[in-house]
Amino acid sequence: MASDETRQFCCFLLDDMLFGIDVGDVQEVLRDQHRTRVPLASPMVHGLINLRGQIVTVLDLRHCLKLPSLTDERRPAHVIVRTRDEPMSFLVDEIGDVLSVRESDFVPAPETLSGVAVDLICGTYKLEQRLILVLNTQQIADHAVAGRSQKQA
Amino acid sequence: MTQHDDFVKDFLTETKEGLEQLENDLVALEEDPQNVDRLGSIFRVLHTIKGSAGFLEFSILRGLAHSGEHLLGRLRNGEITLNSELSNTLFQLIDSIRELLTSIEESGTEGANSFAQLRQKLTDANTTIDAKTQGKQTGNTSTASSKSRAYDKSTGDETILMASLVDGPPDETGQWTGAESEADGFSLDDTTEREDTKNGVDRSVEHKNEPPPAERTTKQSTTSPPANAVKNDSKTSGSGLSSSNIRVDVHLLDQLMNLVGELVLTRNRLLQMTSEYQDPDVLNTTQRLNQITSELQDGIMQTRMQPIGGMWQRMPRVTRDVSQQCGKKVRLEIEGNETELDKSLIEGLTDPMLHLVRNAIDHGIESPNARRLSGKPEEGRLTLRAFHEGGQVIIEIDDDGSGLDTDKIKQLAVQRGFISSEASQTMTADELQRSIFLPGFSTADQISNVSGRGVGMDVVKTNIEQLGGMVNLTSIRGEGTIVRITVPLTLAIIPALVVISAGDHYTIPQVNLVELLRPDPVSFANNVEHIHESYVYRLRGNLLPLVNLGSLLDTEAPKHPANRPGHVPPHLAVLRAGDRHFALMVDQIIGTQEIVVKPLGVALETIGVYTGSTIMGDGSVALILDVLGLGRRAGLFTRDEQTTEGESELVSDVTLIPAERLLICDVTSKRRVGISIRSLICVEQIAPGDIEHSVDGEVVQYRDGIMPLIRLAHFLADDSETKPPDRLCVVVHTVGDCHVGIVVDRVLDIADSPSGTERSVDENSPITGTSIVLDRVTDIIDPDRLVRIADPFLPTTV
Repeated sequence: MASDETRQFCCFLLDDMLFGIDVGDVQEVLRDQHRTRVPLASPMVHGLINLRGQIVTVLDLRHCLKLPSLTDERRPAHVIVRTRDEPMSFLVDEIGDVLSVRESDFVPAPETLSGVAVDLICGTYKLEQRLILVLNTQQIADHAVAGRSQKQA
Repeated sequence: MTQHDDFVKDFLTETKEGLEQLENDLVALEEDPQNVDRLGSIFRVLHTIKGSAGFLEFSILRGLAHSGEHLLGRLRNGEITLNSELSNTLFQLIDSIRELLTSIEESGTEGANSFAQLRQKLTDANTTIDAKTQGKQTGNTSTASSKSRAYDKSTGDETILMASLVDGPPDETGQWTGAESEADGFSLDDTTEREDTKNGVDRSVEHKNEPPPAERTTKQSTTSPPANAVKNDSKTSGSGLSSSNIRVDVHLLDQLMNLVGELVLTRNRLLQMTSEYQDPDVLNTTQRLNQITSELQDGIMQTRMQPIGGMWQRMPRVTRDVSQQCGKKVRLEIEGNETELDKSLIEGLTDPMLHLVRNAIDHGIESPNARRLSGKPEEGRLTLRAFHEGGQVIIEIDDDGSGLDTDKIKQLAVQRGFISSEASQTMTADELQRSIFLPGFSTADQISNVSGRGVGMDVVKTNIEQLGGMVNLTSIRGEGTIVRITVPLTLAIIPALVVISAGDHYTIPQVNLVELLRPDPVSFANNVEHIHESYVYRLRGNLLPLVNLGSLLDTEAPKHPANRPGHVPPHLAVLRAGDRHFALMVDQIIGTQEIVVKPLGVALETIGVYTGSTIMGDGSVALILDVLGLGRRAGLFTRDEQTTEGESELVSDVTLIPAERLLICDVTSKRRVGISIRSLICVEQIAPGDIEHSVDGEVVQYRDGIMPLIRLAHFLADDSETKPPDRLCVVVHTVGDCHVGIVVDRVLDIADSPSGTERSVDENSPITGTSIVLDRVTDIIDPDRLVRIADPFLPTTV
């Protein structure tokens, strides 16, 4: 039965909400790295990091989801995600566990999610205590690439 | 399915390589139609193509190769001989095969063209020559006679050569051809070899009488040395190719290169950490790691290096085609085939090289007649030379043609408005020669099919500059031209200047760097001028646009460049963006360093001011600045986009003494003037209350001195209404050590003076001409003349 199939999500916290990215899309998870800012880039781009010789663009996930910027002293973490063109780093507040969920627990994104977030969230999975919001990573990457051209136009 | 795709991919790469070999063999065979080795090699390549195409079910390709093979078979058997018509058909065959390969590569199929015409031609070539030979052969079974007849039709010296062969004892000739047709091998050498070993002791005696070796020695004397060189090269590179080489995906190499770069950084950090340890074991181990890493790095770098000879493989064919098209005789010499450079550089250099070779043959080398008249051998020489020098690769394209005609260049440059006739008088031959790199310049009297459309040399220059290289040209009238290309060994690692701006590290490619300055804060403040919302810096009499990197990148609030905390001298890097120079102000200059260039992510590609990124010694990432993009962002090129393309490129060329720059001002609501910017230093706003009077008229205090004012409206006797004078706009002009203020209504812009200026010769008017600038009629004013005529009181000291 399809409903008994499980999926695994790499979970993390962002503004006290639990988000998840399919483990298959996650290359690795890192502690905060030295970031080089990129002047004139889209505000979604939070800089560049050196990932074993490969230069990876860091996206500020809070900015992408229109959440307020991280104010406290917590150092964010990086989730390196494979996107169509290249790996990208998503900046998150705190890394959580890898959770297994049943397909039958899937619920489409709640109507209350506003504006941009609707495009970027595929849906949610109900857990006993809380919800996992599943991110559409390719869509986020596309937004970051397009973000610049919108600004230019 | 995927396996099939892999086969096709391998087939394409191999066939392409094979075709290059085939092309060179064919060019050589044309010079030396009796070279059986060449013929054998051509035959083998076509045979392989035919076989593989059949296996992969590319029927059109197979058919073509088959027709070609058949024709070659007859050539090899001596049934027909190579003439120019035949070799043209064979070259056409190569081109068609290449076309098919492209189609297969792009669409996976052979496409709609069945090349029926070419196949017909190949078959026709078989039959027509058949008919000819049969008609003349008159029952003589020896092929030697048919050969001699065929040769009568071709060039004279070959006829003489062949005569000796025909005169040889008929039975020996017979034996030779007989042996050849018997043997299934391709090369005559094999056959002879086998016979030699069979005959054993008699070998030495036999050898002398055998025509083939004799023929070969005669041949050798007439073959030009370069052809020999090419032949030897192809032989050595051909042997053992399959056994000692493997194909590796370039991406894999790039990845390895990345990892090695990272390993180097890790090693550096480890070395630093372990330097405090006294333990000899730790020290030995790190030392060993150090050594291995260095060797590994060298090795990986080496894998990206390729001999330039690969690219030059195409040149013999190009030379042949172009010289035939132009009706010229050209001998191609190649030196330094084995010179290695980065793979990506070779790719980038191919087009410029092809262009330069075509140019050299079309424009450089004269027609055989002209050469004879000037006492040169009819056959022109074109030498391609490559070598390493000072960590760079030098490539020379050297011809012994007519050289550049500087008089003609001068005449053309003036005629087309590239330079003024006065300027052309003072230009050196070198400067004139360089002007052929200007867009739209061509010295050819007639535009030919091959080159000379006026696009080209500038494209060559741009392409090579994009690779971080340079082009130079030396030419001696009547003796020839050498075009010298200098490129770095590799693109992956470039020297760059590391700077800090607003706390971040940035790197600037060394090729864009002109000079570094650290001016004294006081003189700097005096030399910075504010013109129309931008800053310029006076450097040795030139006005350089001055750009603060932090302001340009929005990492700092815009501020006056001279307005700096404390009295720290500013750091200026004078950069070259295209043909323009500008000064970039940064907070700190760290120094130059070799950096590994890494691409930017897709989200950052469109910003336009970075070309890539790199990793610094401490592992952090630094952006590589795109100097052209910075210049564009700073608005250095905006005026160009308004003027027409050709004009803008030329006036911007610093080496060519550009047409004058004009500061465009409104004097009254109706009168507009352009003031030559040459001796202007800035534009100031002055309150009418600041004006004082001295014996000779209005003056203001300016920079601790007295500056007389000239009201241009009064001077031009224009009584149209002026703006209410709440602020006066004063253009400051220098005369010797003194300043003179020219009062205008409003400053609009800076523009280049157009070439079609109506000249006025009245020495008593400051107006030197009138023309249309920015869509309005504008009087051009020479400030020096204005000052002389207005004759204001000039204080002797400031």
